[in-house]
Amino acid sequence: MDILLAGIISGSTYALIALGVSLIYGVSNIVNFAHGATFAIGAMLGWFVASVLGFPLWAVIIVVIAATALLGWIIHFIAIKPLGSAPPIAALLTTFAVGIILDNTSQRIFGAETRRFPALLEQGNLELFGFRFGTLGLVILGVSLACFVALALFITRTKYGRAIRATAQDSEAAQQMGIPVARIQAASFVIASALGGIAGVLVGMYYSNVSPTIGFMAGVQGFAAATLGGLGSLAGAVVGGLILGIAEAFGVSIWGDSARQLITFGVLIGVLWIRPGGILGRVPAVGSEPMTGTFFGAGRPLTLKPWQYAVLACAGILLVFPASDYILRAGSLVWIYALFALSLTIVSGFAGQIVLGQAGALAIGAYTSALLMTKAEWPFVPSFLAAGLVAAVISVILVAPTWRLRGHYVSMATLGTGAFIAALALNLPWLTNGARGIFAIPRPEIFGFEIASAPAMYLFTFAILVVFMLLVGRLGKSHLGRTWAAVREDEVAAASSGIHPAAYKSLAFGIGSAIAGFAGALYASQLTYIEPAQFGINLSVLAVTIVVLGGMRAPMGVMVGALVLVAVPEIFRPLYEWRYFFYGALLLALVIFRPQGLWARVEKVPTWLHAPLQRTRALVGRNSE
Amino acid sequence: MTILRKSLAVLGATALVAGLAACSTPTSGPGTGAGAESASTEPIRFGVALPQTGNNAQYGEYFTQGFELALKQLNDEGGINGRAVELQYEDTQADPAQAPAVAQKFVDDPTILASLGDFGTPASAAASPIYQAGGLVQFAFSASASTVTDPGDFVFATWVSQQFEAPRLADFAATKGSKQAVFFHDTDWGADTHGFFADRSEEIGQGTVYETAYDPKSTDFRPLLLTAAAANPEVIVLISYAADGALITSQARELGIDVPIVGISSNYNQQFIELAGPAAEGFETLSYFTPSNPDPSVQQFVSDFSAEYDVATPSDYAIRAYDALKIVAWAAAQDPSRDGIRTALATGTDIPTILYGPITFSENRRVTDAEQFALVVKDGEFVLAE
Repeated sequence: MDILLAGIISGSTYALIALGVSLIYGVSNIVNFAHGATFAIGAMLGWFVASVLGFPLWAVIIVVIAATALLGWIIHFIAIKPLGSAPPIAALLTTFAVGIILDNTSQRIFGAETRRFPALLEQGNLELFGFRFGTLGLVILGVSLACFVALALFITRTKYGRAIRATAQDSEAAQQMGIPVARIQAASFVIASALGGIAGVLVGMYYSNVSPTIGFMAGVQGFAAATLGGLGSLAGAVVGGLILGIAEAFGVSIWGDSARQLITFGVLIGVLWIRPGGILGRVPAVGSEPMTGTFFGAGRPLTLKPWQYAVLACAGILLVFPASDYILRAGSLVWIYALFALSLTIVSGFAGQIVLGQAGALAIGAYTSALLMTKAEWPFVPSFLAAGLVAAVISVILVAPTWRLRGHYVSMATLGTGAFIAALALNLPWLTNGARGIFAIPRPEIFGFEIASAPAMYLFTFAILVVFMLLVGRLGKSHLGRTWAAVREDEVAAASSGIHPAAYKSLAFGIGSAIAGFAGALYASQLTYIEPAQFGINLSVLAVTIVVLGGMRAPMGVMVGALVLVAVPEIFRPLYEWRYFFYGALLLALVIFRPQGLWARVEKVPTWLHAPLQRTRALVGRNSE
Repeated sequence: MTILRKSLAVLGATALVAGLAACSTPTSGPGTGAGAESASTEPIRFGVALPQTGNNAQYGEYFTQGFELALKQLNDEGGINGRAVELQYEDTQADPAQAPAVAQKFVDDPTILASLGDFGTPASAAASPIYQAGGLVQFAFSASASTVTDPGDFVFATWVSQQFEAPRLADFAATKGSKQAVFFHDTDWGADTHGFFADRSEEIGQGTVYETAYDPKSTDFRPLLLTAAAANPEVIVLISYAADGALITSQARELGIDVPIVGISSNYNQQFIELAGPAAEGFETLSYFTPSNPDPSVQQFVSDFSAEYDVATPSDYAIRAYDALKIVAWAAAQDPSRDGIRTALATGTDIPTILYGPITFSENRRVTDAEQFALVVKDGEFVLAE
């Protein structure tokens, strides 16, 4: 019984976070990756106001609400509004960048240390019907409940709430009815962020410890809860949060804490298999795909003459001579990540699916080759090939039921699958050595040459990348590539011309996962040590970031994207502990100024569209005043 | 127009490559290739690989406290044989993917004579082959895995192998109660430690009624504690770090579980008491370090530390970092070259440290064993247990 109660309380904090996620999703069709960071800021600010300034609870809550609400408005202003009609995938990147900026700012302001959050309340224990209540637990339940009720009343009973619901239903129709859609979207960020801030204070009080980096995981659990309940459904967010909290509490008490992620993401995947729209959600209708934008599509990839490509390739090779071993060592990691992201050129760029779980395929590849090389003492080449094969097979099987899903559900289901695979690696110690990780993974060896030195590793990874880029480029121009394009551009039209979309998505994902698996084998050899914690959701997001920032319609995009995203943290080293702050800022700026990707050119809008476009802009402008 | 644009793209890419190449020149300043004679006035430099950002940044902050204090003392005393000491910090986030490049950076820079770090085994292990191949000492003062020094003779580690510490904790727990509930980190360190701990518990016939691995980043331990409490343990054992150990302790007390709680040495940190609050009272740990150690060098260190930083007692991490720099400086004083430092460490005896007292590295370049003290939290402070 106590465990049920613990589950309900932690579930209600998930629900608060999930409410914010769902609200923003409903109104703006955006998955806000900065939401976890807002939550963490709420927790740290609450700690600061309560512990350092010594404010009482009510004052703490007011300060945190005010600050996080303002933060929500700022996030909308700098990360969402400038994107205009760019595809929503750009918003995923900008909010992720804002998350990095917020986390690092908070670490610099409040310090990286874990802090004790003061209880702010008399602690007492009551006992009723076999339940042991802490007063703290009661207060958390009470505040959460009050927030749900207040939000529900606001949404259903007020004029503003009606406007929010109208925007969520059909933002274009709402716009035409004279609803200031931009302002409503900003309002949804303000409300959602304030909810996140409250959740931060409550979680801080309940768990008593807070640190600036608690946000990312909390945000992901919020996504899981919101998706579970049905994205965009507020009741669903509450139900999803509670289910997740209770399932985790019981699962963890039976199988131990290591199973926590296995449970979270297992429940998420399981529910989506059975109910593709979440428990209380509807299966989203056609449209609202995260990849498609109005007017300005993804932009066309730049194309170069063959000799120009050859010059670039030579430049890549000749870098070996002037560059120090340090640059080459960092460079080989850049090419490994580029190869990893290349898997998404196929899945996202060609077949149009945003996949947030590629770290799972990378992990399978890395573990396969590491285990084959260390335990079975296979040579590198067969291990490398096996890595791609095993990654493709396992990924395709695990993700197969996902292709019925649409839009952001694909992203969330694959995010769940990727995290599930990493959790499996942790929970199968007889196979993977569990948390201890695998040591002393040999360097690659081909034809008797050991590739260990920095230049050798650099050239080897570069060569493999170039080969796969050529293959992928060829694939994109083939008949198969055009079929994928058909599925990407209009799934219904493709299906009605006799193409089976799910099969083609699966095929794209299989080939993509094989490439990620190959990248995993290289990754294991570069690091010589792997453990489950390396293959987190961050890595999956990095792959998406590389491919979107670089430009996802052509293989060159991953090279450009990886050069920027993997090399920049190295180049920013002189900034010391600020380097990730500026990394986030740079990412934000790049996505805002070039949402279609760096290796792409913007399509000129045809002249005949100028007049209607200007009219729409004028209308949007007037309404958002 | 388009040709221009494409040519620009090619040019841009080439410029980037060239730029990267330009960055590659080691930032060593003048005298990189200078002869041995002129070297005698140049500073002695060490590299430090540590997490300054990311999830483990707090441990990087502790390390920096220890390093900066040791550095200040070294330079105030006139440096190493008259040469000033400098540290070059590089952030790895304790991420194994970022560690190799930093290792290569230190190896490439001839002015760096040894490297200290990283936090934890994963990032240290990923860097080891590069230090080994480059012939630069990796002083892995915060990596505990039993395999950490395996990559070769340039890798040294100061964590006492868990094979000595963990059984002592098992014996200690047995004195508190005959049925134990054990919580251990689901990391390489936790799994290793728990292995030795469980073997010893079995050997002495200690009953284990509940045991669980947990993610150090978890925040809700109530479901685990409730299940543990249902098994009626007489003592709770924490193979934890201070932050999560404190969280388990305070949540246990809040749930009304009032059996004794004992923890492994990494719980020795004022942070434990700050985070657990009143729940910390009565918590016991075995520690290599105690501020009440009468040794004058320890007393000097404690007073220097509290003069420099506003904390009641130095944390385990800060002491380890402080010792690491002092040990490597000691080796550099014998022979200020990369090989010389390696040889000095491998052959030196009774190298002074604060944490362990005088140490001598074993055949596989580790500290074999050292004395531990039982400490108990009393009135918000760690004091020697009766």
